[in-house]
Amino acid sequence: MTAQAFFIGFFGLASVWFGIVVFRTYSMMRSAIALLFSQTALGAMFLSMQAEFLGVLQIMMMATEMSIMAIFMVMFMMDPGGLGEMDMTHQKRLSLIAGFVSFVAAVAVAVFVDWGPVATTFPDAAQQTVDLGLELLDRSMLIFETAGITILTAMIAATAVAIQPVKKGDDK
Amino acid sequence: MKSDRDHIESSFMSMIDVTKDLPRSGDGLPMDWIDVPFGPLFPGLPGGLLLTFTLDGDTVAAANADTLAGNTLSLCHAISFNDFIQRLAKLDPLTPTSYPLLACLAIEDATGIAAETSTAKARLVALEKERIISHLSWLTLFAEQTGYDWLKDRASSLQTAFMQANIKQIIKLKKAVIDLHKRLQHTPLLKSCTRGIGQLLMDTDGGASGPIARASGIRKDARSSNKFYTELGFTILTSTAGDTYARLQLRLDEIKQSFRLIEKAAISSDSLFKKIMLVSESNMDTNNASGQAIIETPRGQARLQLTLENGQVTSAQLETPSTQHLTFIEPLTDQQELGSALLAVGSLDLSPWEIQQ
Amino acid sequence: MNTLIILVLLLLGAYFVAVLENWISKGRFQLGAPLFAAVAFLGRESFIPRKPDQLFYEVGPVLLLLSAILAAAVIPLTPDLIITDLATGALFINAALVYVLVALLMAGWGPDGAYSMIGGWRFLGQLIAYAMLIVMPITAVAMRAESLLTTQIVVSQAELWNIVYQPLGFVLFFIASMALAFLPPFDMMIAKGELAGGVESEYSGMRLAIFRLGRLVLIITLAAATVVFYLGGWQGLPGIGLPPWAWSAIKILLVTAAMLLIGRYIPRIREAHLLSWCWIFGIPLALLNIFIVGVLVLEFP
Repeated sequence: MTAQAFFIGFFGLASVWFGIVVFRTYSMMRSAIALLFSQTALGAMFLSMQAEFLGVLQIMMMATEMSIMAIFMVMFMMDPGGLGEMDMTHQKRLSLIAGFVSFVAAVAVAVFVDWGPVATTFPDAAQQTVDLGLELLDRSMLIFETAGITILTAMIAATAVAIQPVKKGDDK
Repeated sequence: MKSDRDHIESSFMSMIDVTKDLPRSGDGLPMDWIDVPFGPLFPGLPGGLLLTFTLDGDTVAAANADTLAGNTLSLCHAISFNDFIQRLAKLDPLTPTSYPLLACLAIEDATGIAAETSTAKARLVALEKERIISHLSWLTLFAEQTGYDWLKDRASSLQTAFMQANIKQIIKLKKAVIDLHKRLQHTPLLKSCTRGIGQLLMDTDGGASGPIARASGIRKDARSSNKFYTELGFTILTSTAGDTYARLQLRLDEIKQSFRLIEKAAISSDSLFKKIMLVSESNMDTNNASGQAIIETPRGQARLQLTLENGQVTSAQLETPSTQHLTFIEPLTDQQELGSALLAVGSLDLSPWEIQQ
Repeated sequence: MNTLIILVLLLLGAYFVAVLENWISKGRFQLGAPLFAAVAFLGRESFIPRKPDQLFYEVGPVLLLLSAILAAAVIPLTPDLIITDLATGALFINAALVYVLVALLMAGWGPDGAYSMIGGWRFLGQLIAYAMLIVMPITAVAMRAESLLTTQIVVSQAELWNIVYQPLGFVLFFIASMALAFLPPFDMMIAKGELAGGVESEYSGMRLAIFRLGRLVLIITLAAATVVFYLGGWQGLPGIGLPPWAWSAIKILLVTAAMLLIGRYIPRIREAHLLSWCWIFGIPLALLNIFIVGVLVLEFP
């Protein structure tokens, strides 16, 4: 139990630290990779909490997503060699307030919500995966399918908006 | 993380602010442009070629090409025929036969003494052998560029075989040449990775010659006016697409054609080859004659004009194919992806040595 | 103990891949060549680029090696010889291998060199092509095994290997894993003739040795994954009495050899073509494969 608590704390702190690094660097690429490792640390936290599927999924998805985000950031913000000297912060006052408010809210939720009794037994990892699969195709199916279709629609719409309209009679 | 960089505290940067001063590229997406050198020692390009691409992402926004090994054929003083031939032999290490032959032909044109038929035939064979070797060497470079390892090994070993072979051994390489040709017709992906790349569509030759012009459908070949070639049934091979694939196919066909010409010329003894670079110096009294000759080198047409005084060469002007072809790099690479641009430059088969400065 | 054995085996496998690669590319079978090459790498001076991003530059090759080893952790060589039989093994292989991309991006971007940076970004483009073709065939494999446990996946093939049960999935996975290991013809990010070595171009000495070692381990790991997912893992052909480890070894070596040989006989595929073929043909085929396997699993349990 103590080892588990230690690792949860360790990865949690690592996640926060990488999150800070995101704003302390002047390069898009470093910023993106720092964000990736922040999310990976979060995935490792899930692993320490024995939520294996969730942890592995988080670690896998974030690597792809953040890398793709990195290329878009570099493409649009022109930071090819990382020598852009860009400031990663803006609207400081607003973000400070927003950050502080959400931090307080999160702490309040953690402290004041009645979480019920601490679980002493839990299904093993393989059973967790099975349960998750049944959950996804049972009660929560509608929610997840709706979310999936929405994201797909958004992606197609974004692509369609990004493509320059072709004028009629224009070959290229 | 480098947090100790000095930077100017900036207010909120909008994308429009950041990108407004950047050059616009063809796709309308503003990005930082970087200058990247390719050469003089780049693995996929001929050594000595100085190529600089200005890259806009993976796209070539501008290209600048030059040579590190170019030549200037200017004569400070009159030199003897054989010295002149020697000098042209050293002009381009990639084609050590074509240029001295060109010099012999020009001198013979000036002095009016034609070579014997057997010598002329031997010259034809030597030139065609050089064409095969040169095209194989291009194939090696092409394979290096496209990462086609089997072809790289095959073409380079075949090239070595041709370079070391005497006339009898050359005839024995027939099967290897035909096999290589057949193999490259059936290689998967080869067509898709070269089709439409480096396309040159020409109505007039625009200075192009050799396989580049012929792959674009221009019927231009200095060999067609040579009677020894027409006797052997030489016809100009052309293709119409004008892209890298057409050039590849044309060069492969030319390898086969050159091989057939060598076969038909039927030279049995190697001793003839010793005489091909010699011109008769008996007629030393030729005064102020001038002569010119055109030869179809593996890369295209080379022309030499020279003036003789008292049996010595006093001035000479050389036109080489690569000098002209160098100017195609810019239009061929403009707004191309980096890989395609390099393939297009490679398909021109430039020889940095023969580029005139 | 298993961890140690598998690490040693991975190293041996990597050595074998190096010998094989040398044999295929140079035509000479030299058992000692990789050893001499490694010694030469270690002895050579390490050139450091002028303005590297120190952290990325150093971490890139190590992360490549690490992610390949992590992926190997869930691959069973015999029923017992596995580092950790994770309940999400088939997914974990994926998760570990995605960090190959992160490693290449870091190694490409870190040295502040044009060739390597373009190489790194090219690999990202390649990921967009192959990623789905790794995940979707694995999904079909897991569907048949009704488990993400890699050992369970092997056991599910006791009667019929997946290469026969779902040949389409095998072909897609095989091609995608070649793309993941940036083997020719998918090697445009380390191409000599196009980028002068690409991601590798700014590395030398020790760091290059680690990078190359990482790639060799990656190749052997992917070959082992192919064996586990499609070729029945440690299970042998009936009638031939070889121990399970020997079957694993033979199959892995054969798959590796096939991966290395194919690239030699075809030119490098172009980036745009790879992307369009993967999305126009690859993904519909992978979906078809999932559908076929679904029907088979439901109709002939």
